[in-house]
Amino acid sequence: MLTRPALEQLYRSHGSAVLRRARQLLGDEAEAREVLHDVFISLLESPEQFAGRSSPMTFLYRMTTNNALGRLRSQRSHARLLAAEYAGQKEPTSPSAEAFVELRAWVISLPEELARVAIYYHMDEMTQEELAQVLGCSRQWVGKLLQQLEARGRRRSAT
Amino acid sequence: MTRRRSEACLSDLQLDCWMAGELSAEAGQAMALHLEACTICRQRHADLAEEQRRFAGDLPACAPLEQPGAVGASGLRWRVRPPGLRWFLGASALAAAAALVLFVARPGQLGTPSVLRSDGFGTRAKGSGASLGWAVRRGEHVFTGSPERALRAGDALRFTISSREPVYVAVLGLDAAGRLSVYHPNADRLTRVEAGQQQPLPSAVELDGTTGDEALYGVFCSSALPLSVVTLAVERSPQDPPLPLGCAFERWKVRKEAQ
Repeated sequence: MLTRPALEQLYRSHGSAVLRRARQLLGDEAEAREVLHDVFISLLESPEQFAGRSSPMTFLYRMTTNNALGRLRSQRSHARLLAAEYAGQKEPTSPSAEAFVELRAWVISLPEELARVAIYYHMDEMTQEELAQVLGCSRQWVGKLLQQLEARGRRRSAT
Repeated sequence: MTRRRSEACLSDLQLDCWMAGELSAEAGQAMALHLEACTICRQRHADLAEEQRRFAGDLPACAPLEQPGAVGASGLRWRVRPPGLRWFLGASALAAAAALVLFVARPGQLGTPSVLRSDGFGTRAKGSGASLGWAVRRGEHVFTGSPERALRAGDALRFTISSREPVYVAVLGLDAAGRLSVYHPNADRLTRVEAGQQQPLPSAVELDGTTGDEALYGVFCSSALPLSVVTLAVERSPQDPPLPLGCAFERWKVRKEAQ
Protein backbone atom coordinates (compact mmCIF):
# COMPACT_ATOMS: atom_id res chain seq x y z
CA MET A 1 0.00 0.00 0.00
CA LEU A 2 1.22 3.50 -0.79
CA THR A 3 2.31 5.65 2.13
CA ARG A 4 2.20 9.38 1.89
CA PRO A 5 5.96 9.86 1.35
CA ALA A 6 5.87 7.19 -1.36
CA LEU A 7 2.92 8.93 -2.95
CA GLU A 8 4.75 12.23 -2.89
CA GLN A 9 7.68 10.63 -4.65
CA LEU A 10 5.33 9.00 -7.11
CA TYR A 11 3.83 12.40 -7.88
CA ARG A 12 7.26 13.81 -8.56
CA SER A 13 8.44 10.97 -10.75
CA HIS A 14 5.20 9.99 -12.53
CA GLY A 15 3.05 13.14 -12.34
CA SER A 16 4.45 14.48 -15.59
CA ALA A 17 3.24 11.41 -17.49
CA VAL A 18 -0.22 11.67 -15.93
CA LEU A 19 -0.49 15.34 -16.83
CA ARG A 20 0.71 14.77 -20.39
CA ARG A 21 -1.76 11.97 -21.01
CA ALA A 22 -4.62 13.94 -19.50
CA ARG A 23 -3.68 16.90 -21.69
CA GLN A 24 -3.64 14.71 -24.80
CA LEU A 25 -6.94 13.10 -23.89
CA LEU A 26 -8.82 16.24 -22.98
CA GLY A 27 -7.08 18.90 -25.06
CA ASP A 28 -7.50 21.32 -22.19
CA GLU A 29 -4.72 22.30 -19.80
CA ALA A 30 -6.97 23.28 -16.89
CA GLU A 31 -8.96 20.04 -17.09
CA ALA A 32 -5.75 18.04 -17.43
CA ARG A 33 -4.44 19.55 -14.21
CA GLU A 34 -7.71 18.66 -12.52
CA VAL A 35 -7.21 15.06 -13.63
CA LEU A 36 -3.67 15.08 -12.24
CA HIS A 37 -5.04 16.41 -8.96
CA ASP A 38 -7.94 13.95 -8.85
CA VAL A 39 -5.75 10.94 -9.57
CA PHE A 40 -3.32 11.64 -6.76
CA ILE A 41 -5.95 12.80 -4.27
CA SER A 42 -7.81 9.58 -4.96
CA LEU A 43 -4.65 7.60 -4.20
CA LEU A 44 -4.04 9.63 -1.07
CA GLU A 45 -7.55 8.88 0.16
CA SER A 46 -7.58 5.23 -0.94
CA PRO A 47 -3.98 4.05 -1.24
CA GLU A 48 -5.13 0.42 -1.33
CA GLN A 49 -6.20 1.01 -4.95
CA PHE A 50 -2.62 0.35 -5.92
CA ALA A 51 -2.11 -3.26 -4.99
CA GLY A 52 1.16 -3.69 -6.84
CA ARG A 53 -0.28 -6.07 -9.43
CA SER A 54 1.00 -3.86 -12.23
CA SER A 55 3.81 -1.36 -12.48
CA PRO A 56 3.08 2.09 -11.01
CA MET A 57 3.20 3.66 -14.48
CA THR A 58 0.73 1.18 -15.98
CA PHE A 59 -1.57 1.69 -13.03
CA LEU A 60 -1.42 5.48 -13.39
CA TYR A 61 -2.06 5.25 -17.14
CA ARG A 62 -5.23 3.32 -16.33
CA MET A 63 -6.36 5.78 -13.64
CA THR A 64 -5.70 8.74 -15.91
CA THR A 65 -7.65 7.19 -18.75
CA ASN A 66 -10.64 6.40 -16.55
CA ASN A 67 -10.70 9.84 -15.01
CA ALA A 68 -10.28 11.65 -18.33
CA LEU A 69 -12.87 9.46 -19.98
CA GLY A 70 -15.37 10.41 -17.31
CA ARG A 71 -14.65 14.04 -18.03
CA LEU A 72 -14.95 13.58 -21.76
CA ARG A 73 -18.37 12.16 -21.20
CA SER A 74 -19.43 15.06 -19.02
CA GLN A 75 -21.84 17.48 -20.55
CA ARG A 76 -19.43 20.39 -20.56
CA SER A 77 -16.62 18.56 -22.33
CA HIS A 78 -19.07 16.86 -24.65
CA ALA A 79 -20.46 20.18 -25.80
CA ARG A 80 -16.98 21.64 -26.23
CA LEU A 81 -15.80 18.70 -28.31
CA LEU A 82 -18.85 18.64 -30.52
CA ALA A 83 -18.52 22.36 -31.06
CA ALA A 84 -14.86 21.93 -31.98
CA GLU A 85 -15.59 19.09 -34.37
CA TYR A 86 -18.64 20.42 -36.14
CA ALA A 87 -17.99 24.14 -36.10
CA GLY A 88 -14.55 23.75 -37.59
CA GLN A 89 -12.98 25.26 -34.48
CA LYS A 90 -10.43 22.58 -34.03
CA GLU A 91 -8.18 23.81 -31.25
CA PRO A 92 -4.75 22.85 -32.63
CA THR A 93 -3.57 23.05 -36.20
CA SER A 94 -1.24 20.07 -36.62
CA PRO A 95 -2.64 16.93 -38.27
CA SER A 96 -2.05 14.82 -35.15
CA ALA A 97 -3.83 17.34 -32.94
CA GLU A 98 -6.78 17.36 -35.34
CA ALA A 99 -6.86 13.59 -35.15
CA PHE A 100 -7.02 13.86 -31.37
CA VAL A 101 -10.02 16.17 -31.59
CA GLU A 102 -11.73 13.68 -33.86
CA LEU A 103 -10.75 10.81 -31.59
CA ARG A 104 -12.16 12.52 -28.49
CA ALA A 105 -15.47 13.15 -30.21
CA TRP A 106 -15.60 9.51 -31.29
CA VAL A 107 -14.57 8.14 -27.91
CA ILE A 108 -17.50 9.67 -26.07
CA SER A 109 -19.89 7.83 -28.38
CA LEU A 110 -18.35 4.43 -27.59
CA PRO A 111 -19.21 2.00 -24.79
CA GLU A 112 -16.86 2.24 -21.80
CA GLU A 113 -14.56 -0.66 -22.61
CA LEU A 114 -14.23 0.19 -26.28
CA ALA A 115 -13.62 3.84 -25.40
CA ARG A 116 -10.62 2.81 -23.31
CA VAL A 117 -9.35 0.58 -26.10
CA ALA A 118 -9.70 3.42 -28.60
CA ILE A 119 -7.66 5.68 -26.37
CA TYR A 120 -4.89 3.16 -25.73
CA TYR A 121 -4.74 1.98 -29.32
CA HIS A 122 -5.19 5.18 -31.29
CA MET A 123 -3.95 7.90 -28.98
CA ASP A 124 -1.26 6.05 -27.01
CA GLU A 125 -0.56 3.80 -29.98
CA MET A 126 0.06 0.84 -27.73
CA THR A 127 0.81 -2.61 -29.04
CA GLN A 128 -1.70 -5.40 -28.43
CA GLU A 129 0.58 -6.76 -25.73
CA GLU A 130 0.62 -3.40 -23.95
CA LEU A 131 -3.14 -3.15 -24.33
CA ALA A 132 -3.54 -6.53 -22.65
CA GLN A 133 -1.25 -5.37 -19.85
CA VAL A 134 -3.08 -2.10 -19.23
CA LEU A 135 -6.56 -3.58 -19.58
CA GLY A 136 -5.67 -6.64 -17.53
CA CYS A 137 -6.99 -9.13 -20.09
CA SER A 138 -5.69 -11.63 -22.63
CA ARG A 139 -4.28 -10.70 -26.04
CA GLN A 140 -7.03 -12.77 -27.60
CA TRP A 141 -9.64 -10.60 -25.92
CA VAL A 142 -7.76 -7.49 -27.02
CA GLY A 143 -7.93 -8.78 -30.60
CA LYS A 144 -11.70 -9.13 -30.32
CA LEU A 145 -12.08 -5.67 -28.86
CA LEU A 146 -9.99 -4.19 -31.67
CA GLN A 147 -12.20 -5.93 -34.24
CA GLN A 148 -15.28 -4.40 -32.62
CA LEU A 149 -13.59 -1.03 -32.57
CA GLU A 150 -12.65 -1.30 -36.23
CA ALA A 151 -16.22 -2.20 -37.13
CA ARG A 152 -17.55 0.82 -35.26
CA GLY A 153 -14.93 3.00 -36.93
CA ARG A 154 -16.05 1.80 -40.35
CA ARG A 155 -19.70 2.48 -39.52
CA ARG A 156 -18.80 5.95 -38.30
CA SER A 157 -16.86 6.72 -41.47
CA ALA A 158 -19.78 5.53 -43.60
CA THR A 159 -22.24 7.95 -41.96
CA MET B 1 -8.13 6.32 -37.85
CA THR B 2 -4.51 5.60 -38.67
CA ARG B 3 -1.68 5.05 -36.24
CA ARG B 4 1.43 7.15 -36.79
CA ARG B 5 3.87 5.01 -34.87
CA SER B 6 5.50 2.09 -36.63
CA GLU B 7 5.32 -1.25 -34.82
CA ALA B 8 9.09 -1.19 -34.29
CA CYS B 9 9.00 2.14 -32.49
CA LEU B 10 8.58 2.70 -28.76
CA SER B 11 5.30 3.74 -27.21
CA ASP B 12 5.03 6.51 -24.64
CA LEU B 13 4.18 3.82 -22.07
CA GLN B 14 7.45 2.03 -22.78
CA LEU B 15 9.41 5.28 -22.59
CA ASP B 16 7.63 6.38 -19.42
CA CYS B 17 8.26 3.01 -17.76
CA TRP B 18 11.89 3.15 -18.80
CA MET B 19 12.42 6.65 -17.45
CA ALA B 20 10.72 5.62 -14.21
CA GLY B 21 13.11 2.68 -13.84
CA GLU B 22 10.30 0.15 -14.11
CA LEU B 23 11.78 -1.99 -16.86
CA SER B 24 14.14 -4.91 -16.46
CA ALA B 25 17.77 -4.40 -17.41
CA GLU B 26 17.27 -6.53 -20.54
CA ALA B 27 14.27 -4.49 -21.68
CA GLY B 28 16.15 -1.29 -20.91
CA GLN B 29 19.11 -2.40 -22.99
CA ALA B 30 16.83 -3.24 -25.91
CA MET B 31 15.28 0.21 -25.65
CA ALA B 32 18.66 1.90 -25.49
CA LEU B 33 19.70 0.06 -28.65
CA HIS B 34 16.52 1.13 -30.42
CA LEU B 35 17.01 4.74 -29.34
CA GLU B 36 20.51 4.74 -30.79
CA ALA B 37 19.16 3.75 -34.17
CA CYS B 38 15.81 5.60 -34.28
CA THR B 39 15.80 9.39 -34.46
CA ILE B 40 12.01 9.58 -34.02
CA CYS B 41 12.04 7.68 -30.72
CA ARG B 42 15.18 9.49 -29.59
CA GLN B 43 13.45 12.82 -30.11
CA ARG B 44 10.31 11.60 -28.35
CA HIS B 45 12.39 10.39 -25.43
CA ALA B 46 14.16 13.75 -25.23
CA ASP B 47 10.78 15.55 -25.28
CA LEU B 48 9.36 13.40 -22.49
CA ALA B 49 12.50 13.74 -20.41
CA GLU B 50 12.42 17.51 -20.82
CA GLU B 51 8.75 17.58 -19.86
CA GLN B 52 9.54 15.50 -16.77
CA ARG B 53 12.37 17.87 -15.81
CA ARG B 54 10.10 20.89 -16.17
CA PHE B 55 7.37 19.24 -14.12
CA ALA B 56 9.74 18.28 -11.33
CA GLY B 57 11.35 21.71 -11.46
CA ASP B 58 8.00 23.41 -10.90
CA LEU B 59 7.38 21.49 -7.69
CA PRO B 60 8.48 22.73 -4.31
CA ALA B 61 11.23 20.82 -2.52
CA CYS B 62 10.16 17.83 -0.45
CA ALA B 63 8.35 18.98 2.66
CA PRO B 64 10.17 18.13 5.89
CA LEU B 65 8.39 15.32 7.68
CA GLU B 66 7.86 17.35 10.82
CA GLN B 67 5.44 19.64 9.03
CA PRO B 68 1.85 19.30 10.23
CA GLY B 69 -0.05 16.61 8.44
CA ALA B 70 3.01 14.79 7.20
CA VAL B 71 3.25 11.06 7.54
CA GLY B 72 4.77 10.08 10.84
CA ALA B 73 3.36 13.07 12.65
CA SER B 74 2.14 10.70 15.31
CA GLY B 75 4.20 8.00 16.85
CA LEU B 76 7.83 7.48 16.27
CA ARG B 77 9.32 9.53 13.52
CA TRP B 78 12.61 10.76 12.28
CA ARG B 79 12.92 14.24 11.03
CA VAL B 80 14.92 14.96 7.95
CA ARG B 81 16.83 18.17 8.01
CA PRO B 82 18.96 19.94 5.46
CA PRO B 83 22.70 19.80 5.95
CA GLY B 84 23.78 21.41 9.15
CA LEU B 85 20.46 22.98 9.95
CA ARG B 86 20.00 23.05 13.72
CA TRP B 87 22.18 19.99 13.90
CA PHE B 88 23.87 21.42 16.93
CA LEU B 89 22.37 23.90 19.34
CA GLY B 90 23.70 25.97 22.20
CA ALA B 91 27.11 27.29 23.21
CA SER B 92 29.00 24.09 22.53
CA ALA B 93 27.63 23.74 19.03
CA LEU B 94 30.82 24.64 17.21
CA ALA B 95 33.02 22.30 19.21
CA ALA B 96 30.56 19.48 18.86
CA ALA B 97 30.31 20.10 15.14
CA ALA B 98 34.05 19.95 14.74
CA ALA B 99 34.16 16.73 16.73
CA LEU B 100 31.54 15.13 14.56
CA VAL B 101 33.18 16.20 11.34
CA LEU B 102 36.47 14.67 12.52
CA PHE B 103 34.68 11.59 13.67
CA VAL B 104 32.89 11.13 10.40
CA ALA B 105 36.04 11.64 8.42
CA ARG B 106 38.06 8.92 10.15
CA PRO B 107 37.90 5.63 8.29
CA GLY B 108 37.32 2.50 10.27
CA GLN B 109 35.50 4.14 13.16
CA LEU B 110 32.05 4.74 11.87
CA GLY B 111 29.14 2.46 12.20
CA THR B 112 29.16 0.31 9.15
CA PRO B 113 27.20 -2.59 10.58
CA SER B 114 29.25 -5.72 10.79
CA VAL B 115 26.98 -8.28 12.43
CA LEU B 116 24.66 -10.31 10.25
CA ARG B 117 21.73 -11.63 12.23
CA SER B 118 19.65 -14.69 11.72
CA ASP B 119 16.30 -12.95 12.26
CA GLY B 120 16.32 -11.37 8.85
CA PHE B 121 17.76 -8.09 9.94
CA GLY B 122 21.28 -7.28 9.02
CA THR B 123 20.86 -8.26 5.40
CA ARG B 124 23.43 -7.39 2.81
CA ALA B 125 22.41 -8.02 -0.79
CA LYS B 126 24.90 -9.95 -2.84
CA GLY B 127 27.05 -8.01 -5.23
CA SER B 128 26.80 -4.77 -3.32
CA GLY B 129 30.09 -3.00 -3.20
CA ALA B 130 28.64 -0.31 -1.00
CA SER B 131 27.63 -0.17 2.64
CA LEU B 132 25.70 2.06 4.98
CA GLY B 133 26.98 3.45 8.26
CA TRP B 134 25.87 6.06 10.73
CA ALA B 135 27.30 8.35 13.37
CA VAL B 136 25.28 9.29 16.44
CA ARG B 137 25.45 12.48 18.41
CA ARG B 138 23.91 12.22 21.89
CA GLY B 139 24.26 15.41 23.86
CA GLU B 140 27.95 16.21 23.82
CA HIS B 141 28.97 12.70 22.83
CA VAL B 142 29.51 11.32 19.38
CA PHE B 143 29.83 7.61 18.80
CA THR B 144 29.72 4.97 16.13
CA GLY B 145 26.26 3.69 15.39
CA SER B 146 25.66 -0.02 15.16
CA PRO B 147 22.64 -2.33 15.15
CA GLU B 148 23.65 -3.56 18.62
CA ARG B 149 23.59 -0.11 20.19
CA ALA B 150 20.12 1.25 20.92
CA LEU B 151 19.27 4.79 19.95
CA ARG B 152 17.32 7.31 22.01
CA ALA B 153 14.84 10.08 21.37
CA GLY B 154 16.80 13.23 20.62
CA ASP B 155 19.79 11.41 19.15
CA ALA B 156 21.05 13.00 15.96
CA LEU B 157 22.25 10.71 13.20
CA ARG B 158 24.28 11.23 10.13
CA PHE B 159 24.48 8.45 7.57
CA THR B 160 27.65 7.55 5.72
CA ILE B 161 28.32 5.53 2.60
CA SER B 162 31.36 3.42 1.84
CA SER B 163 31.77 2.28 -1.73
CA ARG B 164 34.50 1.09 -4.04
CA GLU B 165 32.91 2.87 -6.98
CA PRO B 166 30.46 5.74 -7.55
CA VAL B 167 26.97 4.69 -6.58
CA TYR B 168 23.47 6.19 -6.45
CA VAL B 169 22.06 6.05 -2.95
CA ALA B 170 18.85 6.15 -0.94
CA VAL B 171 18.46 5.66 2.81
CA LEU B 172 15.05 4.71 4.18
CA GLY B 173 13.55 3.73 7.50
CA LEU B 174 10.55 1.47 8.11
CA ASP B 175 9.18 1.58 11.63
CA ALA B 176 7.27 -1.14 13.46
CA ALA B 177 3.95 0.40 12.42
CA GLY B 178 4.91 0.08 8.75
CA ARG B 179 5.54 3.78 8.22
CA LEU B 180 8.24 4.45 5.67
CA SER B 181 10.48 7.50 5.95
CA VAL B 182 12.97 8.75 3.41
CA TYR B 183 16.16 10.01 5.04
CA HIS B 184 18.07 10.48 1.85
CA PRO B 185 17.86 11.92 -0.75
CA ASN B 186 15.84 15.07 -0.38
CA ALA B 187 15.10 14.85 -4.10
CA ASP B 188 13.01 12.75 -6.45
CA ARG B 189 15.90 10.61 -7.69
CA LEU B 190 18.73 8.74 -6.05
CA THR B 191 21.82 10.90 -5.71
CA ARG B 192 25.35 10.00 -6.60
CA VAL B 193 28.00 9.35 -3.99
CA GLU B 194 31.58 9.07 -5.16
CA ALA B 195 33.83 6.14 -4.33
CA GLY B 196 35.35 6.38 -0.89
CA GLN B 197 35.09 5.28 2.73
CA GLN B 198 32.41 6.52 5.12
CA GLN B 199 31.39 9.58 3.21
CA PRO B 200 28.75 11.51 5.15
CA LEU B 201 25.48 12.20 3.35
CA PRO B 202 24.35 15.83 3.41
CA SER B 203 21.09 15.25 5.28
CA ALA B 204 20.93 14.62 9.01
CA VAL B 205 18.08 13.09 10.97
CA GLU B 206 16.98 13.54 14.53
CA LEU B 207 15.12 10.92 16.51
CA ASP B 208 11.83 11.95 17.86
CA GLY B 209 9.41 10.59 20.38
CA THR B 210 8.37 7.03 20.61
CA THR B 211 10.28 3.84 21.08
CA GLY B 212 10.45 0.67 19.03
CA ASP B 213 12.35 -1.13 16.32
CA GLU B 214 13.03 0.38 12.96
CA ALA B 215 14.54 -1.19 9.86
CA LEU B 216 17.12 0.97 8.13
CA TYR B 217 17.68 0.44 4.42
CA GLY B 218 20.69 1.53 2.41
CA VAL B 219 19.88 1.19 -1.29
CA PHE B 220 22.70 1.37 -3.82
CA CYS B 221 22.04 1.54 -7.55
CA SER B 222 24.07 1.99 -10.69
CA SER B 223 21.83 4.79 -12.02
CA ALA B 224 19.80 7.71 -10.69
CA LEU B 225 16.50 5.86 -10.39
CA PRO B 226 13.38 7.70 -9.28
CA LEU B 227 13.09 7.48 -5.52
CA SER B 228 9.53 6.20 -5.90
CA VAL B 229 10.83 2.99 -7.49
CA VAL B 230 12.81 2.29 -4.33
CA THR B 231 10.10 3.29 -1.85
CA LEU B 232 7.49 1.21 -3.66
CA ALA B 233 9.81 -1.81 -3.71
CA VAL B 234 10.40 -1.55 0.05
CA GLU B 235 6.70 -1.12 0.71
CA ARG B 236 5.80 -4.08 -1.46
CA SER B 237 8.24 -6.44 0.18
CA PRO B 238 10.13 -5.09 3.20
CA GLN B 239 12.03 -8.36 3.67
CA ASP B 240 13.30 -8.54 0.13
CA PRO B 241 12.46 -5.41 -1.87
CA PRO B 242 12.06 -6.18 -5.59
CA LEU B 243 14.56 -3.56 -6.69
CA PRO B 244 15.49 -3.21 -10.38
CA LEU B 245 18.59 -4.93 -11.67
CA GLY B 246 21.67 -2.89 -10.92
CA CYS B 247 20.52 -2.19 -7.36
CA ALA B 248 21.54 -3.75 -4.06
CA PHE B 249 20.47 -3.02 -0.52
CA GLU B 250 21.41 -3.43 3.11
CA ARG B 251 18.85 -3.72 5.87
CA TRP B 252 19.62 -3.18 9.54
CA LYS B 253 17.45 -3.21 12.62
CA VAL B 254 17.93 -0.46 15.16
CA ARG B 255 16.15 -0.16 18.48
CA LYS B 256 14.95 3.19 19.73
CA GLU B 257 14.51 3.70 23.45
CA ALA B 258 13.11 6.46 25.60
CA GLN B 259 15.59 9.05 26.85
